[in-house]
Amino acid sequence: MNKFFKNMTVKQKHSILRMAVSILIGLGLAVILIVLSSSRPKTSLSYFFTAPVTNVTYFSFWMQKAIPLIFTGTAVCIMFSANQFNLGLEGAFLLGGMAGGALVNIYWFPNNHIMGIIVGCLVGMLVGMVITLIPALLQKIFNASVMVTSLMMNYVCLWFSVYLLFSKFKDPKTSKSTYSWTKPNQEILATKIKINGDKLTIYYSIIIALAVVILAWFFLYRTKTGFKLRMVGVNANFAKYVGVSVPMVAILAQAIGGAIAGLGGACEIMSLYTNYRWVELTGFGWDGVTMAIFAANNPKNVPIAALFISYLRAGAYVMSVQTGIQADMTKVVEAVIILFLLAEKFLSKTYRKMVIKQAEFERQAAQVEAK
Amino acid sequence: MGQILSALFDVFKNVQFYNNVIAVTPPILLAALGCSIAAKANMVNMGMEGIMLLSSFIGTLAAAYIGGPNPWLGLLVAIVVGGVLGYLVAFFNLKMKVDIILVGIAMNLFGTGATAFFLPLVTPNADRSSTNSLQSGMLPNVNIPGIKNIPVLGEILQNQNILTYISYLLIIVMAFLMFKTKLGLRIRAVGENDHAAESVGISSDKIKTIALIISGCLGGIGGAFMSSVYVSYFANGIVAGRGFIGLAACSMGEANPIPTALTSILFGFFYALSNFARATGISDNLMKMWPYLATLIGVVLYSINKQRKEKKRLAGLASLEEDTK
Amino acid sequence: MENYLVMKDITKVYDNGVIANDKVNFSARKGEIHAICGENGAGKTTLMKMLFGIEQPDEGQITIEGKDVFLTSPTKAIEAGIGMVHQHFMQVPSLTVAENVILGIEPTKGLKFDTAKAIQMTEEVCKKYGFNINPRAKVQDLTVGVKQKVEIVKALVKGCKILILDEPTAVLTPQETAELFQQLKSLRESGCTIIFISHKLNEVKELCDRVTVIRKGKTISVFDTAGVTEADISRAMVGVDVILEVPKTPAQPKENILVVKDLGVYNAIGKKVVKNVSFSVRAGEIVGIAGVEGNGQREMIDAITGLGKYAEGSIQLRGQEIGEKNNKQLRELGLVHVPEDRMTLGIAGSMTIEDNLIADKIDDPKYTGKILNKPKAIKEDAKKWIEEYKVLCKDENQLITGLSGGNIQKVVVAREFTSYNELIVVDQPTRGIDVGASEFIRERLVAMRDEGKAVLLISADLGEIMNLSDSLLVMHGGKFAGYFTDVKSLTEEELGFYMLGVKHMSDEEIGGALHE
Repeated sequence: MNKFFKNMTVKQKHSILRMAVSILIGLGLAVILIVLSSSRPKTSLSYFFTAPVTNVTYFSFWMQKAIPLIFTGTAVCIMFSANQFNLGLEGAFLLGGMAGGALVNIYWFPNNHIMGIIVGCLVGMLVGMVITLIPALLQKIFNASVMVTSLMMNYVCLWFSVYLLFSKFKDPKTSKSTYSWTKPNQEILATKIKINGDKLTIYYSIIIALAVVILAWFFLYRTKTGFKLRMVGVNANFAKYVGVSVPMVAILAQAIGGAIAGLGGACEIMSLYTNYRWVELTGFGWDGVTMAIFAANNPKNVPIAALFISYLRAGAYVMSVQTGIQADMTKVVEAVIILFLLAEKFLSKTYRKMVIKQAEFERQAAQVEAK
Repeated sequence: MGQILSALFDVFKNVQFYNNVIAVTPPILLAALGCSIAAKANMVNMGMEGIMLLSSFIGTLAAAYIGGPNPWLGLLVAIVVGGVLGYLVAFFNLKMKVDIILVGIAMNLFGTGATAFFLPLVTPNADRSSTNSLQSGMLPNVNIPGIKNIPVLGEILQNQNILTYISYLLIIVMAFLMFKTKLGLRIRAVGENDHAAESVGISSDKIKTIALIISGCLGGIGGAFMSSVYVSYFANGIVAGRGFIGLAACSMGEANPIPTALTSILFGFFYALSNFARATGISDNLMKMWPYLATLIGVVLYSINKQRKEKKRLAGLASLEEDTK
Repeated sequence: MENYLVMKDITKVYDNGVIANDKVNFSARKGEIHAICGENGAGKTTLMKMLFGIEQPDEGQITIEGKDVFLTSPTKAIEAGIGMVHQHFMQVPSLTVAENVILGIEPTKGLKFDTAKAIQMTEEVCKKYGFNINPRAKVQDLTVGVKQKVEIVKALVKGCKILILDEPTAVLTPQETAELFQQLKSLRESGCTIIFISHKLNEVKELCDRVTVIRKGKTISVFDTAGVTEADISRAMVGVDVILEVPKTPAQPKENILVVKDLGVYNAIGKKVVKNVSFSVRAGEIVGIAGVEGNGQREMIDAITGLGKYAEGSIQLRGQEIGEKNNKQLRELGLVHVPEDRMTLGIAGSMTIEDNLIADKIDDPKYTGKILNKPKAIKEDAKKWIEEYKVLCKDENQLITGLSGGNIQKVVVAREFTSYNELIVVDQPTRGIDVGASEFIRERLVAMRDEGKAVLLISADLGEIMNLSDSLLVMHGGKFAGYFTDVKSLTEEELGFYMLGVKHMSDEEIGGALHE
């Protein structure tokens, strides 16, 4: 551990300190909000902080909430690594889920789950890729702001999918007016086990999610294209100067991001539902941005970030069921952590002190060496 | 197809349709105007959605608890809250050096979370999704004398909510502020070339902060509109992406109030069309897609035009240079 | 005559330790045009920034009309009656001339900004000093010459008594320059003190009453322009740093690698800045290009290295026209480039030394397989190059921004020199870096030449360019003013004459630069 810290630059040490303090501030805020709002603060706090590790059902919640974050977080990491602000992942996740997760399984492979999963994943990726590619290409060809067009794209996807659901795929037999046909009759990417009366759900999609993380990391840090992508993100002029085709790489990054988000949507549907039922944006696209910020755009950090945030969310969810405090509190905590984490000027005085101390230390070390 | 067209034709002949266009535009318009004053100072107010949500929520509380209920007080509080949040966006970007878009995303996250979290805590019946047990009251509809007598338009414009009229008035106010006042001049100068502004002693941070505060105030009015004109309570997610549409409308209108307002009305048009869609036999969900698709296409057309203009301008400059040789 | 403005013993040390001004003394009288001359980096701009309140001196005192002034911000400077026309215009393109002119001192009428008053104020100044500008025109639609007039009016409307012009003629056509001079002279008549920063000695001679020469942050001399020749000023300006001479044998040039014929380049606003130049660089020689900055070198090098476009003539690299080729194709043809601006173009800041060393070679099968890279091979070579190029660092995984300027430049040089190369373009290779690193880089350059590479060297450091070049071209006003094959016998004084436009060679003599 000591060696681990010794090899870091002052800047790295400081950014770890800043992250720790930001998280502490966020958690402190959570405690304050819970204590102020709960009639049984002790019970609420204990649910919030420990629920996911005390009960297998709650543990399942934790995993369930982590998986989509891993997908979209990784997707945003790749796009942000190339410095591309495409915000179309909401739409990619949604339509990827509808096409790959639901429609493929309902209409093409109602009885062949293996094929359903494989083709579902592929279709989800393809659809997601198309969704993010549209704004990317509009930017490339017409110089239209990718941020604005991708934001609009999300809502186009939403209402298009709602239209399809209601007018083409709605199950007339179900009592819920917003559910599509149900087929197959079980969640194909999950298994439920009873343990002492509690229900443990195993989500196989976590394997796909972790595989995506590993592949994304290898892509960014172990392939030439990934290397070029990161160069474009750090300094596009430099990338051009050393012979990288900057526009192609930028588009590729967005296509990959969309594909991963679409895959995430497909897996989400296949893990949680037996039909299609989203009639509003899932929010996982925006969560992806949060994850990428926490992970400093490196996919290998995304699972940790996702597990952290989903732990809070699962705890808050259980707390809300048990003691009636709104689970949305975690969003407040997330927002506050993000702001402090990103604030360059936050703890800047401490940083100066650290730099001075380090310089002093190096000077003394040099003197000792000289003797 | 012919049936749909004739049904559409019926809708377009219906005065109530245009009345509806006028009524649904204001929140988008206010968001768009708010985004445009920020954009003029070179700040992307991505947090508009969150600002509207929070100011709507706190405005409702103030209207219900202090005013018992008084929607005017709610409006005032919403404006103040919007202004404060606008200041916070400026603070985190300019002083704490957080990327402006990420500040906006955090603001939206905060807005969604905080309103949903506090909602049951502050309502008498611990409501979960909307403040049904806590009414903010409605701002009144007004009949402005004389309006009725304007041919054609009179029927469309009459008997709207007072805040609707105020919103349209704000187009002119904002145009005046941006193009006819000292502050507006400085905002435009800072937004375009802050070195130039600094070189004549103008503090660009100060001007940007003021622009964002005004932006927030406009968002506040938009928030109040949702909870005291459309309905008389606050509901989770009540803003429903209008902040984002405002951002898009502002981008299409090049952050100039009149084009931005026209773009917003175009949105309102498609919004109203989705309200009237049933009559045409087109799925109303498909119609709901239209405002966004129209913006998307609009932004692209706008960019094409801009590219062309820029080329022309450079060519013109070059020929001017030639002439002076 | 009484001095109106006095800057006494001004010293400015920048945070990075560079002494920009070392006890500089400068004074100007009321109603004179006073030139400040000096090479790039001599400290002229820094001195003027302090006068305009953008920077604050560490030592020294500024007095105006005998009173001490403390210029802590541009606002203070404007209040003290100082106006500045920056090299890069401080204007808001979409605003009108009048709006730009009164920015900061806007007249108001009630709530409104008073447009009529602004136009009137602008027109008054224009009329008084004979500027012909339409106050209602948008600045973005104006030519550079008119934009500059707007800058001057901007200063005058605030009642400035001292007007600083930072290389005002660099962007102007001869006609515009003549007009500007006329106006400056009439300003002088009205009692305005004008400080004129320039490299162009003929202009200084024509326009100015006195000239102060600054060299390496120190005041060298003050002349009455009437009593001196351009050659005198040039001699005072040009001083060669004593550098350790890199020993080298006479060049053995072989075949042509780079052939530039009749090259014409226009800048972004359509002004012709490279005026049909021709030259070639042969394998095994170093061709140096000297010149005061802003005489077309930048645009010429951008065209040769594929970073900019060219409209006329041809550039052939090993027999192939480079016109439509992208940077990757140029590199495959053997072009490597050490760019002038190493921080924004030469490195990827938040990446490691290893990443920066390998950046242009990642497609090489030595470092990458079908899918995955070969981290071992990359690491091995990165380590080797760090050692070979004596880069001082913890290890290859350190972020490059953590290094000193000299070591960053060594990384850039290492990357470029270890890639496949036939033509090496080096632009200001040792600017702002320490002596040790400079010497090392110069030695490597000569070593590359001896290996038979063609080297094109651009440098503002005269000592460096005179020591390294086998033949030397001098650029002035977008053209070559001189071509020297016997660099050893060239004096710095003579070189200065060509750089500053005092002397010109004939077309035939310069034509020798193109070897057929």
